[in-house]
Amino acid sequence: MKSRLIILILSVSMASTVLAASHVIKGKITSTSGEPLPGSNITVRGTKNFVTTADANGNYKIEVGSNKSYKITVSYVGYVTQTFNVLVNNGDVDKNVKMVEDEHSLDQVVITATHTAKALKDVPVVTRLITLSDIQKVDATNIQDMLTQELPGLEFGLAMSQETSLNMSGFGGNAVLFLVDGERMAGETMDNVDYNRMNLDNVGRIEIVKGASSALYGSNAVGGVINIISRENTEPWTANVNSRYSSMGNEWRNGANFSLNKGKWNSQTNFQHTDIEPITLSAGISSSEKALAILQGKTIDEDKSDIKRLYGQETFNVKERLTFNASDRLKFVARGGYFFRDSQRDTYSYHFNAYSAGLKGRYTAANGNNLEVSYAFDQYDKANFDTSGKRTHDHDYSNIQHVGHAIYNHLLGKNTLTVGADFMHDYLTTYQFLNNAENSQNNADGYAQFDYNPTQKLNIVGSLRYDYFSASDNQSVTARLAAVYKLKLLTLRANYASGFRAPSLKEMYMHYDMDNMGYMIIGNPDLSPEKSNNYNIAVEHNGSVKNGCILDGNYNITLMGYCNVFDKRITTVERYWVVDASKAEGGFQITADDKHLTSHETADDITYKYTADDGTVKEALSSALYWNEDGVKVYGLELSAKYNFDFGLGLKYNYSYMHESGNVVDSQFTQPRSHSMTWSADYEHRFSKNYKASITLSGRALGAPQSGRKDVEQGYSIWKCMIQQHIMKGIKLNFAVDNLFNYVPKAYHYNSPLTTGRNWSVGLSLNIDRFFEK
Amino acid sequence: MRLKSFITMMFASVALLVGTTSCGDDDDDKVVSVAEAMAGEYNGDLGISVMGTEMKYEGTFKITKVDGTHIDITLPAAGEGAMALPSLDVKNIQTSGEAEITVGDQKVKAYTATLDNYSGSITVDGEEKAYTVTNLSVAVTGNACVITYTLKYGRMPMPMEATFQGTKK
Repeated sequence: MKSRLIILILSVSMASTVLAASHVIKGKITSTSGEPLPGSNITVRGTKNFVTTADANGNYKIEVGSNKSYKITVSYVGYVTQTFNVLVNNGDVDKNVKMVEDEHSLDQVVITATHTAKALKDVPVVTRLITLSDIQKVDATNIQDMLTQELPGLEFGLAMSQETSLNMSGFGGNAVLFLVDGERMAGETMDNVDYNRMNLDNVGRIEIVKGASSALYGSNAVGGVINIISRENTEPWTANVNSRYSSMGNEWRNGANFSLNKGKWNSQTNFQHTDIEPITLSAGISSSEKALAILQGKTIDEDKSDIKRLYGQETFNVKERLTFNASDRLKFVARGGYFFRDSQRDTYSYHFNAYSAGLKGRYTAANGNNLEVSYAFDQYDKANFDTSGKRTHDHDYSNIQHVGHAIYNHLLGKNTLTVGADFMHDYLTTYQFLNNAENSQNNADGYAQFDYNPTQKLNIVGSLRYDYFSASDNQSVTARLAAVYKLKLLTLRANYASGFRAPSLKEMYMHYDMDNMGYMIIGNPDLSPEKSNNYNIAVEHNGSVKNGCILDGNYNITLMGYCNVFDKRITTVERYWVVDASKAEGGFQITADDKHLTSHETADDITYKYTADDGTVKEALSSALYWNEDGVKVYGLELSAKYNFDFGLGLKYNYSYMHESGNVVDSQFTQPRSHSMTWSADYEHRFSKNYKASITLSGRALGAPQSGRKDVEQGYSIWKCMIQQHIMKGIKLNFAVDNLFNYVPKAYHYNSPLTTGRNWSVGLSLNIDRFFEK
Repeated sequence: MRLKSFITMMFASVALLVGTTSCGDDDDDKVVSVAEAMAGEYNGDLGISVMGTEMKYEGTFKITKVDGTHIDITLPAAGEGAMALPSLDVKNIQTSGEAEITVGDQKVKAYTATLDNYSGSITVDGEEKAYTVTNLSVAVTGNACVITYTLKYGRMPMPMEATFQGTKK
């Protein structure tokens, strides 16, 4: 009897063990942008505690016992720890976990500085990270708005055609490389890509590496790299619709985002439409008042504005990204996108069309070594249409780029060897070429990087890269050596990097006569690449206060000093142009010291004549020729400080000092400023389960131009206040007042802030999937 | 009686119609006089400013009456050689009416016309060139004429701010 009882107890016990082991809680741990978080800790608390870690793809699986509710805690460095209950009821439970980055943590992972994932605190090159939370707090309307609110020393302006120009710490826009998910974009507007293509609606974070990065990213990474990284959702499905209205130009921005996640497939779809009316910046004296005043011999107080009216604009942007996880080790990502912009000029429209596509495969071996191979296509077209909708073909432009990448990371203990190669075919036809000619070139490169970690405290990363450009037959070798050393209280960083920018097809082959208007811009196939050498050192201190007082919280202070030596800068210089000369179609270039050239001075003007060897005299006209000029030396200091109080208040301050010497470009489009700063203060409070609100007060101030010019925008500051409300599940309502203190420029120069004074905006975002959450 | 009344009414109606038409003609005459007062060829100085750089030319602007309320203007060619800007037409500019202005110590009548924007094209050496004229204003008093406008021509991205001061030939 006793033995039967023992057998019965054992049987029941075994059966319950079998039953207990029959239930599984499983899922995937990812960041908000969809990146898997391998090594995440998962703790399950029930009658018995279970602990496990996520695998290389962020997947976890835990066998649990009886049907009941289990409390699960997921933690990962750099992310806010999450605790939730899972009810196991006769079956397995799928529970994906999306970890929210701890925006105050230095454990957040960045990838741009070294092409590999590294925690922000470990990265050897100072990297500025703009998180999703930062993007949402400042209510940025576009990438320009976002960057100017976060980064001191960065200023966007307009060119005469109202396309955007950029200056970042003394570097022009073409010295800053913009990437979207690590990929370049084709086309250019003024001195860089079309910033309108960078839709913030699906952006997860933005990483900014200042200083040269050509040893990893090649041409254009002379002054810095700005990498815009997309979000990726991992829930079974998500749906978001959002709309925002701004009183500035009656601007509407409407967007929709959908994601589906089923089995091995993940799909992300993003759509955005914007529409803004023309904005009169400066009414000034009307043309009829001016005509009557002149008729009466009156002195006119002329409006000094370079830009009096901003064009209206409409954009469409649609993107699709499809991920196929063939196995735990092999992943494919396909993407496609279409962008359209209608710039509505007064009597004609400029249409911009962009098409992008890409395919990427990534294989991660069991030992962590990984290989990534990708292909990217990008096309950017421009065309002019008259008021009747007829294409005029006098502004046709098309830039097409095909890019192939291969990168392999090989783990050697704590160290990593990275080798990679890229190939790019660049094609350009434009009305600015003689007879709309077509030109193309190939760029091939190879690079290697070694990430050396001799101790826990020291990390040294060395990179070397070789680039070849076929059209100019130029070669460039660039290198970088960066180190980070962590002391108890301080983190020290030192970095040397070289950068280059190869002459573009436009700079080599331009033949732009502006319709016989006497001013020509002429390309130069003999250009050399621009070169830069960048040195910087940085000191960082992180701390926290835990005294049970109001100051409890954590803080971070970073001070960086840098020096950029920039040489062979490609710019335009004045040369003379002879009409109808026989050496080339349309004329040929002659230098100012050519003996054939003679000047003829009159009371009003100086004209030049070209006397050919046969005695024929031709008119010589001034024109602009692309040329390698002497460079500039830029040095400066950047201070970044933030304090996050435990009670919900966050403070941020950034200051930048910059001094430029040498052959400084004195342009009315961009004027580097010695002093600039940005700041913000935000406070968040949850009032109830269904209502949370936050208020953010931010601003930026720019000092006077370093050049001392008085005919461009002088120093100014702009403030913004935003209130964000989270109502129930998935409803977000924003209200913002921009230019709080109503700063209005006296005249609108090309680099003036484009504001007519205080304006407001209201936005509504609905996360529809959250309405169905239990 | 009824017929007489009807005939009387018919005459009255015709008289009224004629009277109305007559009044309309009087009004038209006033508008036409503005357009006619402005019409003519004006010779003088044309200043063109491109991004702050001033260029001076001599030129003749031709103002032609289209109808009672509209005029055409032919902008003169400017420059030579590679600096050549061809003669361009701006059509159907609405006249604004009369205004009393002071020139010196004298109060005089000025005639004005304005146009927000106009787009046209011209063929030069077999190639079609598009151009736009915006914010055009014409003011005429006596023989004096002032014309201001913004011109964008062909592929040139920079607008040209033009001011003309001339007298009737």
